[in-house]
Amino acid sequence: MMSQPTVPQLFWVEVAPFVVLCIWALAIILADLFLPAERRRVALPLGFLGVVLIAYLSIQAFEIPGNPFGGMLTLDTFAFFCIVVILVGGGLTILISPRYVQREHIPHGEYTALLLFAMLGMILLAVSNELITLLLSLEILSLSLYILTGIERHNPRSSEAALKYFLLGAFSTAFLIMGIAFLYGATGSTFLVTIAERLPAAGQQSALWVFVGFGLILAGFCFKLALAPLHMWAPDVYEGAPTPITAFIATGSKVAGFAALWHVVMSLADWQAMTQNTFYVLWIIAVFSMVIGNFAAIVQKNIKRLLAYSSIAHSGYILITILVIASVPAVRTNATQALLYYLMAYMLMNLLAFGVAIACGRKGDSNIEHYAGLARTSPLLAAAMALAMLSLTGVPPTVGFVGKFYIFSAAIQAGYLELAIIGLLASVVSAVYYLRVIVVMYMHEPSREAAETAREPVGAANSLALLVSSVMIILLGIFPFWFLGLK
Amino acid sequence: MLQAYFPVFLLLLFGVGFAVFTMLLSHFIGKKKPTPVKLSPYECGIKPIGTARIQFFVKFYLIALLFLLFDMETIFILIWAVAFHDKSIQVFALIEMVVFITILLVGYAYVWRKGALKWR
Repeated sequence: MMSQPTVPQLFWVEVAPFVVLCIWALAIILADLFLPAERRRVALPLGFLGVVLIAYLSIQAFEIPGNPFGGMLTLDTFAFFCIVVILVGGGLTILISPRYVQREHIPHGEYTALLLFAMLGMILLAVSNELITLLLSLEILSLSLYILTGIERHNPRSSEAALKYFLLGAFSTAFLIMGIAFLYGATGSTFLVTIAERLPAAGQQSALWVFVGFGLILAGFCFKLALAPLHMWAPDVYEGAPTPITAFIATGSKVAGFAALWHVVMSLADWQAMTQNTFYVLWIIAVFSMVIGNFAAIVQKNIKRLLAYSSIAHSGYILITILVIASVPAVRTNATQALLYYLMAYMLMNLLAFGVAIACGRKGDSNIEHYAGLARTSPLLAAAMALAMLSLTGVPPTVGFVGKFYIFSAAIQAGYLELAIIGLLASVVSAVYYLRVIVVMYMHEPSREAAETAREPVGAANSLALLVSSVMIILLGIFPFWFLGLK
Repeated sequence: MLQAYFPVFLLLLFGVGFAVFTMLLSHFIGKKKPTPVKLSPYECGIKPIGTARIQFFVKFYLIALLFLLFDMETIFILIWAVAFHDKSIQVFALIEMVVFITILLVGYAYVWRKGALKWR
């Protein structure tokens, strides 16, 4: 039974963001090849311009909901929010990059082009509504990030991180592919919509294949999102990767990963047998992530490792929303809102923290002790870092507080009081290590060396990124509906 | 539904079975008269020098990698060529392939300009 091939209808407006982003990245590679060496720095500003252009095109593309590429992509409200978050994150990442790229002698063209390709993978992941497309977008994203992790070629730590990330990532992709194969075998389709339609008719044997398939897909996502049993790679990769890339991995790939997981879970969630069986799996993963992430972060001495464990914990919080969506249809809208808001919040506060880390880090030094007395030597940077840490802890009036409030209230509405309590206790534990950074900055004496040597200037782009994310952390914390009311 | 894959399974069985069968056959009915020359590793008739586990120039690796990359793309073109005879999608398919080749060409230009094709 072979269906006749048909030419899918393409409307330029609908596919423009994806096509233009790809062309833009290719153009940056070409420009980098043919420009003289001293003018190659233009790549990063060009990349930023590209992000702004894509933002404009995306707003146009999402005016009317559509299904371009023969229904493989879905331009819906959920995807729109994810793309907004990804583009803001990508733009801020480019803004915090220039000084770092200059200092570590990273090739500008490759760096920018790969960053844009990673963003292409992310926004495709957010809109993909078909398993093969989902896999391909995830690979575009992952392959770009593997290379970006190892792009500091003179730094053995960077290469080590890239190798670890690549080997484990390739392994987890194998799980994902196997899971997709099982789902296809059980339902005969790779389109999530069709899978959702055919599931209720699935017999006993097919049901088993669906469970196996979903389990394998979940394992693949757990790796990409650094969720508890498969989180081991995160600290090493976060520490070794160039700092802006760490920020990007921690934020962008998580947003995209959760968006894709949301799509998969939504297609399976209406099937009664599924919700009962996946509940405990997701519950265990969420609780383990929150507990392991927060407790392991307490003993970290390196700010990047600390943020890596904190990101594991935050993935755990976010997974609560997925769990609620999967098991309680009545709270689905609220949980989806909580998910979107938390992704935005998480991205802003992490980018702020990493932005400060770049601004005051010297070569290869990201020890927390290095921040001693930062409040005296550069008060503004210290204030920004303190804001990021308070927001990550979840102190009002920041986005971190509102995000956690949404997540835990969704959990309570769904009747999972114990999850909300565990989450709250985990947040209390997290205060220990977040506040320690503030204590070091404000109450410890700066080392003599740090007091005497002048800091490098932060740079206009990075300052702008820090300012924008700080302001947004506070404003969206006070007026959360500015974000949720976007569409 | 699994029955649909039965021919594939048969083919697999036959492929493995044939290899095992011929090897066993030659093992049991062949005569063995080993000499030092017969037991030495086969290197195109030249006398073997040392072991195969030596360091070799990393450039070989790069060339092999690039070859593999561009070789893989031919496989995609092959599938495309098989589907191309369908009249209803010809124009679309041609445009798609032009896009694909253009993206490949950017990669080729990159490799070329970076001097990865030069042996130095």
